[in-house]
Amino acid sequence: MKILPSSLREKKRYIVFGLITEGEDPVDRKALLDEIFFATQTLLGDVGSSEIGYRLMDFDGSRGIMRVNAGSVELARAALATVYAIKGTRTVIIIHGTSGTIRAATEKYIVTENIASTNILSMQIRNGNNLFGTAVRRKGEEIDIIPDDREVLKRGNTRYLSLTSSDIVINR
Amino acid sequence: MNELHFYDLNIHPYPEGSSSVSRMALAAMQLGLHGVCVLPHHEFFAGKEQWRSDGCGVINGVEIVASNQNDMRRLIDKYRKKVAILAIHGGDEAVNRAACEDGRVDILMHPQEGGKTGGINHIIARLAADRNVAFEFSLYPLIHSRGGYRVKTIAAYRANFALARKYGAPYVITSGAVSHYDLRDARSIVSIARLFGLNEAEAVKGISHYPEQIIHRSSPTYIMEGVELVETGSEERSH
Repeated sequence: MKILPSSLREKKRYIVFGLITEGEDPVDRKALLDEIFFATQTLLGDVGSSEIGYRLMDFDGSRGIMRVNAGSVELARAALATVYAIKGTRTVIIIHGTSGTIRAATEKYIVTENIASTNILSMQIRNGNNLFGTAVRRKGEEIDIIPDDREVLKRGNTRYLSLTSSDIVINR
Repeated sequence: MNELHFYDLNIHPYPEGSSSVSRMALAAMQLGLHGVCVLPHHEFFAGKEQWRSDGCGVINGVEIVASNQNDMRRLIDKYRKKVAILAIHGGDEAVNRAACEDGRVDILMHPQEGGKTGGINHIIARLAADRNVAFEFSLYPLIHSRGGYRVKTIAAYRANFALARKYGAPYVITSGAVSHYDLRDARSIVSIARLFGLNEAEAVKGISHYPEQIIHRSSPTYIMEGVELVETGSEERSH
């Protein structure tokens, strides 16, 4: 079948997004899509999902470009914002921007700098007298630790306690 | 036109949640927020702490959990002087109403919680508009729950917002974050708020205009609604 002339095709928008996750590994493409489809399905239903018309153009494990129909960017934004975990690992989808073409989206919103996170196992951490734990990884200023007090993780629904370097005193 | 500043007036950092204040402030800054309010439930209230903040302002607050009206007034007496923003943990009908009757309260949190209805009616909404008590619409239940509970919450938000709009009561849209993974940027907040009946301008007001108004109330020059200490020699500011 002949493809539609470009003037008759639906207008598209390209959403550039990045993931912030507490997992160590890059996120699986299929897992991400499953989670996005599920979140959209529960929030907006079949009708809403079809209006948005997701198509993942590119994804490298931590950032990607998603194509949606032009009129549904707001709906897509709301649906993507309700994703809170991927395969049980806490994750946020951060939208950097939207554009009308892939090229503009890439040029404007894809940032190349990427601070690598380092895993530092079994370093004792403390803050004042109340906070004890073991650091597991560090990325720039950000430090994730496993606290001795696990209650706080249950309340926060996360795997690690997240701090910055200004919070801690390292026990040597 | 002035550039808009966006605020998230309800975060629960460590020791209540699982991210520290500075980590949440860092994440909020990366999301483009101008300020966050640390609003622990009062059992986790750590005292009058000064937060180090670069880029993202951190405001000190407390969320009072009261079982009845007398308890609430007692706790307001205790905490009002210590914090910039005082919120009431809503849900109980009597507490919802008492909170909106008390001019010292800044925000009534989740009035819909626990009840079958939205938790506020036309009388409470009018009181809130009169005393400048803001209703909170938290994104936390919308992000974290699926199905029945979320359906009820959205329905309550829609009903509550219709009342707030009718009586001109202030309202704030917050993340209710207990970790930095729960924070959302302004555009996402607006997109979600539009799902329960706000238009774009109203949603933006809920994260910029009303929060600014509440924060402004805690400034030392503020005396009461419409009355403000103006430095001698400087031009009078219109409110």
